[in-house]
Amino acid sequence: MFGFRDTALVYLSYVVAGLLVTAVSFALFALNLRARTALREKRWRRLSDRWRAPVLLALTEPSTMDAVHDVIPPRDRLHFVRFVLEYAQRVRGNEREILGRLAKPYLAPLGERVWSRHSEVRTRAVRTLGMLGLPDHTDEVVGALDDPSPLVAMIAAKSLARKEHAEHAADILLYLKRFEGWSRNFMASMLASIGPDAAPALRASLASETEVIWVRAVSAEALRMLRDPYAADTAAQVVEIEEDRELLASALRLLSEVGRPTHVTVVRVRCASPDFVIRSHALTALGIVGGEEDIPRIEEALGDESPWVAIHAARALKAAGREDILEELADAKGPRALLARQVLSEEVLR
Amino acid sequence: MSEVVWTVIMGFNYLVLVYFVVLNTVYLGTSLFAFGALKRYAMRMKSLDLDDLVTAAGAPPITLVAPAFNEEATCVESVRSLLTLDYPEFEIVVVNDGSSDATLQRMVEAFNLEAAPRLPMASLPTAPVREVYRSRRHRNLWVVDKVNGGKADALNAGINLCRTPLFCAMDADSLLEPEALTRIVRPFLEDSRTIAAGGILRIVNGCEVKEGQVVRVRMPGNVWARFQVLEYLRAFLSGRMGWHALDATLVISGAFGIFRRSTVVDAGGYATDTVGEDMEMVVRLHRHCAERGIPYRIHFVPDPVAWTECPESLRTLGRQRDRWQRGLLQSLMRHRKMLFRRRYGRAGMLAFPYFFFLEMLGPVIEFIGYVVFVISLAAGRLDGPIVVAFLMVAVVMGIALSVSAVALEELSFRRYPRVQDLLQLFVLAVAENLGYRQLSTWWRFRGVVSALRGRTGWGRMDRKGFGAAK
Repeated sequence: MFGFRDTALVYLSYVVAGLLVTAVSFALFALNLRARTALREKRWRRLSDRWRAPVLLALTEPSTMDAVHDVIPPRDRLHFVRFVLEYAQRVRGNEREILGRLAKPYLAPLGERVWSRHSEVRTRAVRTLGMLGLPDHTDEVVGALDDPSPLVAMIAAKSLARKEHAEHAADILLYLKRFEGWSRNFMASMLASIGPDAAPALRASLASETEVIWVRAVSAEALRMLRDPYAADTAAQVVEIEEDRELLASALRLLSEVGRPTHVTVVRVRCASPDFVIRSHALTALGIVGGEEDIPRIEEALGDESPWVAIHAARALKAAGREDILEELADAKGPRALLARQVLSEEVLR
Repeated sequence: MSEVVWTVIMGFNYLVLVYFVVLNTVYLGTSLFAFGALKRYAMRMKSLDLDDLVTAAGAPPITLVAPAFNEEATCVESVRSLLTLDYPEFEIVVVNDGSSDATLQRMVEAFNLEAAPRLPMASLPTAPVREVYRSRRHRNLWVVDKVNGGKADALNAGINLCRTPLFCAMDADSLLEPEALTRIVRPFLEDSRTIAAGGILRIVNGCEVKEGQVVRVRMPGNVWARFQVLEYLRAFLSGRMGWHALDATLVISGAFGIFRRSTVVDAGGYATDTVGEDMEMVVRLHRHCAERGIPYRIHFVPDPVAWTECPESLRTLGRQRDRWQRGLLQSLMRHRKMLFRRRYGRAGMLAFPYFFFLEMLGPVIEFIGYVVFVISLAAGRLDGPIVVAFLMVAVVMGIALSVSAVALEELSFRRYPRVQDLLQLFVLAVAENLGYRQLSTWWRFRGVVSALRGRTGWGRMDRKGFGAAK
């Protein structure tokens, strides 16, 4: 018994000694890290101070660009790229192009880092090349759409989703399936940032029955953000024949933005959907594409069991120019009065 | 005392020794997981431009729900801080939960509030709402005045009025950093299964606050607040980050967490019959999704910061810890079905047993352990090696853990810029094991006892306000 206890205590003392060493190592690690970070930050401040003035001058007077390269020693080239990247994130258009030209001579090593074993290194390289290295490094960035890490692929897609690179819209759509876990709204917004030139590819994606359903829904959302009038017929067709909730809701939202009175029949059918999400969006669309004969149907929906449907109906009445109905309700009592008063007081329709 | 009793007492001493070893080994394990996860996270954040990723594209609108009860000292500054948040689209719903002080008047005057119609979008039961106000100056600021019903009830009232897909549950006396929402929303963008994400809480005492923002981070002057700085670092960077790395997050702080509204409403909203409504909600979300086969993820994100004022008096601190322990016990006992059940995944197989045996029952074992140890020592029943082993395991392991938490802070965020603050944290890491930890054990033990007695109150919390919290 005592032999066992003594042995256990000996082992325990080893553990405690090990922990003491661990604690001291942690402390030394932290202090060392603090010292190294302080040195690194000091160096970075010194470099930034040296580069700030010539870079800002080059942004206002591009003829001085060559002078910038004189203050970049070979060992600090990648630091300079990082410095330029921080500026490039905050500017657009011509200024970003100038920053890209300033960084251009130093970007080649990043082309190799796109193949690094570490996904963080690849992410950084793709982001830098996407921001500063297009179109010279287009191959690397497009290639990164196929990267094993979805994050790297997303950074590549985000880099390519710009108005000046609209030709890559189809590439991005092709690889969109990889991002199934990502927020749909995020992806739609990314695609819409390409601008109207992306619309044909998006319309094709929405219309394609062989395309993945959620990709079609994302395409519909992007078309809604672009307010693409040519997508209305496709959206109406989707509303007529498809049954997937996500796709239907997106197509109805698209019709709310670009639909025409000719689409009213398919929208009316969906106003009776048992799914409150579909009913809500159908009513909003009906407020846009419907006529006077649809007002009773919308008014009836003010009493829907779902508050979401009711609020969409009230907003639909407002969009249809029938605020008089809401005003009448607002003067009465009960929950519908509160609903009417709320919608009448809203500045922006959500 | 008979020899049989002494045998039992000595056996208990050994049990406590084993408890300390197991507890600290688990802590060290989570610290190691946290170390790897934080390192990866820091590298990942360096390689991303969050603004570009979030604000430029499809960031979901968020409603901030901030319950306020007798917060006249801090509510205006807190709301001002919320209004400066750097996020594309958000609403603020402050719920005045029947305050008996001038919280509502302060808000009405400061933000020029007027009564405004707003339809509830959910029907979670709550105490009656007296009036809903909207700011004439800041159109995204709403204040709900309701009859007192407790924090959970106030949160439910805010959720009822929420019309965005996500809501942020927070305390009205917390200060969110401007980019906090941008950072905490990231998991919702990257993984559509995400139903909740929690941020980190840091202690504002001692920091310089201007116009609702922390402009200079400093260690507090008050010694109890200093210990809490270290505790928070350990709890969030070692604990929650470690459990997140294991995909078993069981707690999101009530002071700063973001949730998918529809899931919370489907799960029935916050429970109003517990003082640990934040933990209970997360545990219930695990159950709700697991039992219905809904794919879900719950995240901890280590860099979105909410600054909060911590108690500076022992009495208030003791009440807070007592309440936390009661909340923990109530949540775990209510959902004890999850214990070691594979159906609930890692939450049921790893995190729940840890919280159940080590966090809930731990203080009882530890407190009785200290008492029994002293009795045994006084009776001369303990020999030198055992005494040394007990102290070493209780103290040295604690020191190692706290120092590792400071190292994790240094590895990742370095919020305390002065070297003297870093050194102070190391000194605290040693000092807290020589009295403060035992005091904390006593408070938690008291919490277990009061929970078993059925005590339900929150206890009074004294606030000084951000300008005064030094």
